[in-house]
Amino acid sequence: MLLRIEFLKLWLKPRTYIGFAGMAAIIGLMFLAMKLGHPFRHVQATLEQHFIVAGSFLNAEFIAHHLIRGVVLGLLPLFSAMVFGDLLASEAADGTMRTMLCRPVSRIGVGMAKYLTGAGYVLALTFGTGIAAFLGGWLLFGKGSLVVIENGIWIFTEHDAIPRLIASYGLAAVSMLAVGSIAFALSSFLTNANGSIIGAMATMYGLMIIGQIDYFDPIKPYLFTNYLDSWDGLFVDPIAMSDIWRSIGVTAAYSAVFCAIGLAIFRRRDVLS
Amino acid sequence: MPDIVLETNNLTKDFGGRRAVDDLSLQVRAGDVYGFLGPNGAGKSTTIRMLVGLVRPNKGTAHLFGSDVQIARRDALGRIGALVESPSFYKYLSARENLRILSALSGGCTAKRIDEVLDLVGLLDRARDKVRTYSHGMQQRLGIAQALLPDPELIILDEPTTGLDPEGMKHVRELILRLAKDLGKTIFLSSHLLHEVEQVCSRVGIINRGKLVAEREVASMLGAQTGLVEIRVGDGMRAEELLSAVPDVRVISRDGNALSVRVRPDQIPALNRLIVNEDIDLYTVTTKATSLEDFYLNLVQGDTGAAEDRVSETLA
Repeated sequence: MLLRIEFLKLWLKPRTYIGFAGMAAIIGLMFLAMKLGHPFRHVQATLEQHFIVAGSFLNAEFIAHHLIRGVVLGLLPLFSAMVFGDLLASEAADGTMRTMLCRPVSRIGVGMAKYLTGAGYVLALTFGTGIAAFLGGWLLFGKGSLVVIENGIWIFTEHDAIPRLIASYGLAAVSMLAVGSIAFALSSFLTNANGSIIGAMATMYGLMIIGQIDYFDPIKPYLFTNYLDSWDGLFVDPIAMSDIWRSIGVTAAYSAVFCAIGLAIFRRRDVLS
Repeated sequence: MPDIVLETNNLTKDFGGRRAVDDLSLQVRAGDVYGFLGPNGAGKSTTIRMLVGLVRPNKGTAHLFGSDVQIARRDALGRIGALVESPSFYKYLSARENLRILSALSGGCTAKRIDEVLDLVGLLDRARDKVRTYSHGMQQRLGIAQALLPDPELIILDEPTTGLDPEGMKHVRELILRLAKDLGKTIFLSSHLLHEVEQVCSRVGIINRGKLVAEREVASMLGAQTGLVEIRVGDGMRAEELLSAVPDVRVISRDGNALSVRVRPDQIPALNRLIVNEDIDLYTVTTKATSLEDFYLNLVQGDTGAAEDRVSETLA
């Protein structure tokens, strides 16, 4: 019941659609650029160095793959943090938390329902972005083999590419859940959603910077930001599954820890606003 | 003895170094319309927040229907409806959608019930409008509606008339009386409006600086005569001479033809006859009772330790 209520509220809240609108705008701009110009000349040039290229590598698979690279570090974390940061903090700021918690509901139940709603949103946004990119690309450029120029040149058949794409969006969603969980934990004691969003983004970028400093090499394997591009590992052959599982493990652990912190604070917190 | 529906024992809450509620123990019985009075910042809202589980006490307990709010939250809150401070709603939703969501949190209710409470607070015709289009007064009424939604046995209302116009205030007062008298609800009403409390409450607890400084039946307070009678006559001077000679009667003051006289209530008819028999025109005889305002101001102004003694003197 609580989960249903939270999904209903999310569904009816205009702010929910900012993420989807933002992603739709990015995809639209990308298609426009592809139609009007040739933004992947470098890919073409690299391919022509090694192959005789007949036809176009520009297709639904290529666009879906290219999009994930562009959005994982940019917009998806922001939109995830926006929704998760909003979950508790904005209700506390608006006073609706007070109206809600005067009722015979368990705080852990409310908090968990909100977290799962945020997780549902992140999944929907991540996969929605991939599906929209794939379908739009299919409509405009058709389907075909996926060409990846990263760690060498990889060409995956359509049959092979689609499961890899699905898995890569899944991995991106797991990473986004970690960013969202940080925002959730912050929103459990802040009464300002913007503080949670900025805090989560700052944490993510802060960990990324730490990951670039040699001095912190010993802790690097434990930073979830180290695995934000782990989906890249799905577009090689053979896939190093141990690396993929490690990235899932670390990012899922971040999500679980920050979710637990958020719930623990929320359970005991005084609702004063 | 009627059932105790709300009880606090030594309830205490500190915010940093400041004690907001200090060792507060009170009881509300089934059927009471309990007025929780106190000046701004006295600790009323903090107490209410502890009663509904929004704030954790540092010490003491709050029980609703015998269940500890902190330990058995669902049982404790399952039979109450509450409006805590100014109501807040999802402004992007309509009143009906808001109530549907809130009712689901209390175990759900029918669409008919939602319409019933909207009708009760006079918002049925605006039920489909987004709450962001509502005035403050309308939101306040919607706040009362959401408290009534689960058909609770105990209704906790924190300053429910704040922001309402006089007509709205009257409407809420009438609603509270109706809920108590016709529907048998127990009401816990926090307010700093003495007139409001005097009109609707059967018992009052007065809180000042976090402490409960008095808890009384309103009727016993208001019924407590000061012993003062105001008499308006045609010839004030003659009446003063006449009454001054009567044993156990003391003329306190005279202002023209208006006299203030201290007299026992059982002496009033005889006094009345005496004045008329002396051929002095008698216009009015008015007994002066303690008002809640007298009682309250005595308590909250100055040293609260001595206040109870002063009130006791007044009531004696």
